Amino acid sequence: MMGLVVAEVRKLTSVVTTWVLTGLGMLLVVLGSALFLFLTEFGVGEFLGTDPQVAFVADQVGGANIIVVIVALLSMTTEFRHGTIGRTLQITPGRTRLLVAKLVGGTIYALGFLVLGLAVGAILLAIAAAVNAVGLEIGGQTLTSIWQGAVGLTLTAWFGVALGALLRSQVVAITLTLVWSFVVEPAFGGLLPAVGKWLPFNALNAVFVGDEAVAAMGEMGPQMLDPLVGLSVFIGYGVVAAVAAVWLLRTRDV
Amino acid sequence: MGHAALEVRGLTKRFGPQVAVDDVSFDVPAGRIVGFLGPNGAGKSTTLRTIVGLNAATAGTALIHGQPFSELERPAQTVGSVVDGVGFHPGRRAIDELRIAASAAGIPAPRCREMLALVGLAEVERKRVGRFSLGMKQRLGLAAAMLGDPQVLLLDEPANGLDPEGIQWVRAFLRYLADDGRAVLVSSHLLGEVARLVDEVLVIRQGRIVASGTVAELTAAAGGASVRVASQDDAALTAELERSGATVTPVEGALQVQGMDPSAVGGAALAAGVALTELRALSPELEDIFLELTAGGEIA
Repeated sequence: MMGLVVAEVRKLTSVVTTWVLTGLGMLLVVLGSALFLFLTEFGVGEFLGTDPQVAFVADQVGGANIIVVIVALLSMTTEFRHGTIGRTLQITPGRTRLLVAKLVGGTIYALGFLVLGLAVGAILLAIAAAVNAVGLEIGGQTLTSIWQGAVGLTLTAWFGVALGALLRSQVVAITLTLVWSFVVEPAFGGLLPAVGKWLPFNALNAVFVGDEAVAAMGEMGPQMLDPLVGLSVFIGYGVVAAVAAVWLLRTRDV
Repeated sequence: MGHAALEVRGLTKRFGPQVAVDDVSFDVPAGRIVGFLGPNGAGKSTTLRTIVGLNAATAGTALIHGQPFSELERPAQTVGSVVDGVGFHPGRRAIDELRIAASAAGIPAPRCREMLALVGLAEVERKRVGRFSLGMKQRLGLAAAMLGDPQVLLLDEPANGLDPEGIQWVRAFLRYLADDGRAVLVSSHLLGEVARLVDEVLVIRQGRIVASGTVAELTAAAGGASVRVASQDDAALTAELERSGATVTPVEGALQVQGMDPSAVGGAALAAGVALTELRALSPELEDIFLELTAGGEIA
């Protein structure tokens, strides 16, 4: 199994697309954090380096989950698009094992993305702290953001791999994911918030958007599930997608 | 009794109502090259894909050293294949493609460079596969197939897209592999392409095997050799040949004789006192036999 996981990580790191998307993800982290840190009218007031403010920057990494889901989708759909799935299955006929290796590969990518994002966030925080001549307080809220980010991004990667195995078509999978996350879920969130908050990415966002941020947005803010409920709902979607993917991978011709 | 390296029995694959492979059975012994011939769409690729588990068989079995592909403990070290529809990521370097396969199969990394050198791609190992010519991709496919040093090779049209030099190289490479004791099943839609290479031939048409055997056996079964003879008195010669049991057909100023070899025809001419002006053996063209078989003819 170790060799399979190494192969899956190599598949991700040996194509330019992964690096470009990761760079894009870091850009999202930089933009989200910089707006908050340096243009304080967008943030929650003056930057003082408090634990909630540091946690907000850490949340930006988890908030860039769209990148992780796309990389995870590609790890599966690229195999079908370029026909490499045939060679993969000739080396690893056990399709369940293959999917498990891809899930682990996705986890490694997700955690790598988190570490890189936190490093970028730390650099921005250090600059902001120097500019404002304040110290940085790293407490329970920041640590919670980090572990929530780790869990959330890992689950996002699993969801992406499973969705990729289900849909197979790269164009369909990416288009559907982008339209779903940027159009369908926000539309539900705005028009039918009682339903929208239960949809997968909205449920996951409940993990990353802290109670304080939601409270700060007031009535204009989205309806969010409790973070643990949101996490459980997203896990539910992930499990259903993964089980369906395993079944489909085992029963359908390649 | 030992197993053939590859044993296919009653293999059937249906896609909905369409039968792509219909009750196909054959063996590929170790040390032999078996040509798997048929026109495009005859079922060659589907058969190969079903053997390696990319398609689920509707019925029948394909056993490699006595085991289905899905149950092989070390599949890459047992079977190497170049199968239709199996490709490479165009954005990945050649060496990375092999390293990925090697990692997954538990093959030592240095083997990747050895295989690239074996197929003549050592100089371009850092080149992205999307920039490879079709011939280079075919060679890379062979390198990937050989990575695990397998004893069974399934190759779907490996010479497709190659220039004459490349085709020569593939022939020599496959002969080397078979002489090294490996079982090789190589598909093609051109009999001439593999006739000089293969030890045995399987001809498939509309999903069914319509002929099998050595090229010589196929030739013989298709009517065997005949003799073309011309003389100064064709009527007398025809009478003598028919008396000896041969079948004689007039063709463009000569006679075509079936059922006798050239020396027997010469003997008959001597007996009839007829001087010959032409005498030569005729072999049926392999492509003609192939076309006849794949167009609907069947050889028992």
